Amino acid sequence: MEIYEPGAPIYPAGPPLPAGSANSIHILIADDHRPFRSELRQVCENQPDIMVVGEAENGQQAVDIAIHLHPDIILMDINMPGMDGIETTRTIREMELPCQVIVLTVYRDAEHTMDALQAGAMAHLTKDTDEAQLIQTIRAIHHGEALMDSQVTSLVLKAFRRLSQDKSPADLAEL
Amino acid sequence: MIKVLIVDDHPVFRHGLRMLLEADPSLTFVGEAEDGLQAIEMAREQHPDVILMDLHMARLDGIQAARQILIDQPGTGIIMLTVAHSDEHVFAAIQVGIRGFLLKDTDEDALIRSIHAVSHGEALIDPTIAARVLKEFRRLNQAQNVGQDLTPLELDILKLVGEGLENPQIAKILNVSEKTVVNRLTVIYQKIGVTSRTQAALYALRKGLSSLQPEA
Repeated sequence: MEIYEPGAPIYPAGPPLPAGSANSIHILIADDHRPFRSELRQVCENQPDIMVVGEAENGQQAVDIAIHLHPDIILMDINMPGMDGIETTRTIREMELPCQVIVLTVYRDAEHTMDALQAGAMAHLTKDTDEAQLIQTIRAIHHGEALMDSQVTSLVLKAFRRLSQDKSPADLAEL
Repeated sequence: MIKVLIVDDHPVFRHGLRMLLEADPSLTFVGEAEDGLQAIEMAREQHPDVILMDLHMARLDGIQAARQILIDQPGTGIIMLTVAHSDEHVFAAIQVGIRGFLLKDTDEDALIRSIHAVSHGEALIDPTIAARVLKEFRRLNQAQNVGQDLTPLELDILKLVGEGLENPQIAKILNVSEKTVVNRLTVIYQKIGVTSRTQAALYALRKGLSSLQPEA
């Protein structure tokens, strides 16, 4: 019996949210590859509770659109011309825009994942993620949750521990 | 076989967990403890691979117990399994080195999968808690990058300015003279490129160096 698979989602899919535009989750797609944007839009729009409010083909556009269209969630590519997805995520957090970022890329290495999470993303998915998992992730993030697989969580906890053990001023103040 | 120890002050909950573990042939229940002190003793005797640890218990709480157990046997995978938790508890548990933080209403299958993942050296956080961990993680990263050319004393002063303290208070906390604080502040303004105390305070807050005091 093999219950455990590395990288497999630990949590089962939650129930779908009620449909309706007041509850619908507004998405901005930021990716420089037009066919991929169309595909993503299709996947999102198959869901009654998800609505794509905009598309951006680079980081600067993503920031501009986010400021004006108030998406709840940005599906963010990493490799984009100009400001890449990591930098764009950092900018969005620094501007304190009220939207969450899911990084969606071809990279599978932990380094890119950690960069994305450090910049302020709440989830990291690879582009071959299946539809169900993408939708589940969008809903979870919209609920204020964050999703990391067990390998990434392990890295985050180690880095968290190291950072908070450094003799940082934050520690001193707690004494 | 994965050896599992259960630590919780509620006998009924321990019993339920034990039944759950025994349904999975790859898990071995090696014992149960009702508080942190007992947990430390049991861990020394049984060398569990994974410990399911309650947070609030008499005599010694789960975080303190985890700290000692991880000193004794650093490879132990400890999963905090709790109902009530504050950010402080979560962050303190992570600093101690636990590898899981789950809620007691976690789905049974998810709990079993988590035990397997943790026994493989991986880690899990309930998604409802993970967002706060990631926010704090981002703040810690930023705080580390902020003002790389500030000295430790300057960083401390800037942090306290961000928390709204006046120079005499800052001097007292850091055990330096008020004049030192004033002089250092001038240097800090130059280094971070601001011209007023308000801007410096905002800078410290924005960069995550300081945080507004949590609600009383």
